[in-house]
Amino acid sequence: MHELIEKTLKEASSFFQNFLIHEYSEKTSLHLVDPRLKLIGTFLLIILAISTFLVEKIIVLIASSLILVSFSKISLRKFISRTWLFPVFSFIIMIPLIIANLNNVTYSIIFALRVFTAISLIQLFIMTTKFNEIVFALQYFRVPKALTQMVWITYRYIILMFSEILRILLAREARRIKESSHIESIKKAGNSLGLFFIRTYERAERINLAIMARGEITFSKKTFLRFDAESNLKLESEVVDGGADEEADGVSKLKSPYKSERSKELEFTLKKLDKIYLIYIVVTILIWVMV
Amino acid sequence: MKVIEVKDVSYIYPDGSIGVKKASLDVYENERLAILGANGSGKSTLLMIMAGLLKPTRGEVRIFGLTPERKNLKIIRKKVGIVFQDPDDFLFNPTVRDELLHVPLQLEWSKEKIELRVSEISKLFGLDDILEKPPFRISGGEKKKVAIASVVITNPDILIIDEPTANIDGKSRREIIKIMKNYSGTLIFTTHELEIVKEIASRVVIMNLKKEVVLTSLVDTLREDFLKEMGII
Amino acid sequence: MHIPDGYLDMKIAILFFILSSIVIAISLKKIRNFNTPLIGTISAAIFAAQMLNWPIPGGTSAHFVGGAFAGIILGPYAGCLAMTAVLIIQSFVYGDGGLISLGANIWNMAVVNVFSGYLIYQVLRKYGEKLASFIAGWLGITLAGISAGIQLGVSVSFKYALPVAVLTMGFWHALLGIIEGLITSAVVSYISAHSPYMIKESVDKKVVIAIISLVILSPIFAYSSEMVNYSEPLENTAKVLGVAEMQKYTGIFPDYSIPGLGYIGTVSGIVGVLILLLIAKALSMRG
Repeated sequence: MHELIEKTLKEASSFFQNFLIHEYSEKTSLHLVDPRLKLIGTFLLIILAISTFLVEKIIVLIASSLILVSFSKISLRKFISRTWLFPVFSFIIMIPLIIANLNNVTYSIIFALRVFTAISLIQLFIMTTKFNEIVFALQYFRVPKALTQMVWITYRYIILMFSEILRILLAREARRIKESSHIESIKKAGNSLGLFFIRTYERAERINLAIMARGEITFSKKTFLRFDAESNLKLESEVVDGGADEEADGVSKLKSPYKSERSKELEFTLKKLDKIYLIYIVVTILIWVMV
Repeated sequence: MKVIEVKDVSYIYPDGSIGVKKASLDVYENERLAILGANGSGKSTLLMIMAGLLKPTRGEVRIFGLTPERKNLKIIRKKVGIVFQDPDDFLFNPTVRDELLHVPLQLEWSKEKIELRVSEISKLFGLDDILEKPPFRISGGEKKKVAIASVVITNPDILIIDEPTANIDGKSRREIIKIMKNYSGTLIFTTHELEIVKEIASRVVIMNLKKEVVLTSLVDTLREDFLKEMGII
Repeated sequence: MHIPDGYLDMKIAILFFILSSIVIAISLKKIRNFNTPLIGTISAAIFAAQMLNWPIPGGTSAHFVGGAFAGIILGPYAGCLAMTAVLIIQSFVYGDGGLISLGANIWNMAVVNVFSGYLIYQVLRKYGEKLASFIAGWLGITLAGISAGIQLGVSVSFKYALPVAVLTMGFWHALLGIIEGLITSAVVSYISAHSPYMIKESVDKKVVIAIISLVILSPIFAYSSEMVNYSEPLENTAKVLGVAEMQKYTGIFPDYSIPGLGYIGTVSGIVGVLILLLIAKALSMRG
């Protein structure tokens, strides 16, 4: 069991870094593009990537996604560190084919490149889109609400559940003196998991009551994009005005015309970003078709 | 005026265990009611029943004269706000700001009103710095404050808080007590701390380990040796 | 077992997207009186349990998948939805498993694994909780692996022949499945001893049988969908005989890209632009 806990903890930190990638990556203009557009764009480009074996076409897509990476100020090193593993793995599993017939070298390389392209596109999407935006986009594209709610609840409670599992396992480990065999420790840890699931069931009931008390979770554009971008803008304006924005509570009402002008401006910027993204994707697709 | 009437209410959980046994009590407008009892005496269950969340297995509960039936729930939910003991059960939105907006958006408040109220509440609770953070990435004290803030934001007529100060550091504790003291509506809460009862409550209800309501009394006439005997302090 | 994008042919990916959607739709319909927070919370718990890194003799480690477990605890429908939620998060948060192949991954781990695990457990339950849940866990994951092997094997993009892919995936998962079975058995027996009301009793058999037969028929669908759009019958037979590699390549995959895939690719490119423009239009109208 000791080994189980150690190994799990070792992997968990990188896992959570993935989970919270938005807290680690800086906000860029690609973050502000409408998540629905980004989802569709990503989807289409992946479809293009996996429906060809022509190396030129794949290179077009790789170049396109790398240009987006550099424009969105994501560090290239971080990006590669998140994408290299699968393609390399894909090439390795093709080695027996290469040994059987050397002609398969080109196939294997292109196969790995296709995988790399698809993974890059997904990672680019993931690194610039928060999960609640993704859920919002899924809901917009008619994924049933019951399912999106479920997905959100799952996402929200993963970290809590993980720390609960760990607490239960550690509690058992803390009072373990005798060494046990592999099978034995799987059984014991399995029992701990059983306890964990029983507790989860009880918690689920309470969460259900909380949602009954407060109403369902809704995902609207209102609740994230605008506010997010607005606070970004506010930050900028504060830097410009030297933080002269500090005013008493009552004054905030008077400020509202200024604010609405601000948000109009913001809406305009957002629309412009959406348009630029759209044109970029269309151009990529057209080049892909023509090559 | 009675705002909540609980008459001979029993609640039995689906697994057969008893939640509350034959409880009767009334809650009056604008009073501050503390529910005391040892761990496992059914306080939380009673609160859920008083909020109209759990339907009593036997007996009757009336909230503003309404039974917790489907057709009345909308009014009850608007008038009664409940904060759960474990904020992790309670906070499920993407950011702290979304938590605060959760109910106001359902009430379809105007944009200006929402903005004004959010800034008021976040100042009152000191949440300005964590508004954009996900609620599962903040400290325990902050979680509790956010949970309370997300209910207080609409000023419900009745505010029910389960263990407002359990597992919380001194600063957050003082802030929460201050907010509860300043709350103008009816307040119902559970606690294990006698100081808080003396500071905030006007009346107490005591439950025993058989999940029964054994006593209601004014705070001034509360006897400490009785509380010790009950295992509450 | 998460299949990334690029391994499966488009046709296969789309086919399994459709099949999975059907099962998800049925499940959503069937669980109407079930509460979604419960399923969401349990799937968060399964997700967290998947993060545990079980050491196995020889220095490597294995992960619990929990498909059969979800079926046993939540019943097949809610279990299928819980696993679907897990898989959606894995592909949209970690990039584990692709977007286009998400349908196929849901099919393997949320349909095949959950429904077969559930059925095996229900059938064997009379021989004892422990045995039934062990076999459900072990066989459930093995069948899911075989299903993934079939999807990969029939795909032209993935060059290994069907028998190779199925045997490799099946064997590997049957081996790792032992751990899955042991964990499933320990968890289920603990729960059934301490809080038996959590374990879902049997549900409407007809629908389950219908879905299981869909599972059994799916390889045939997959195979026949590969047959469509094939211009060269000769190449076709060659593929069946496993001698497709005998052809000479002058350029880079001229055989595949020009008559078959390339054509589809160009069409999908044009369709893609159209869809994108339409959506942009719709979005700008909504503000």
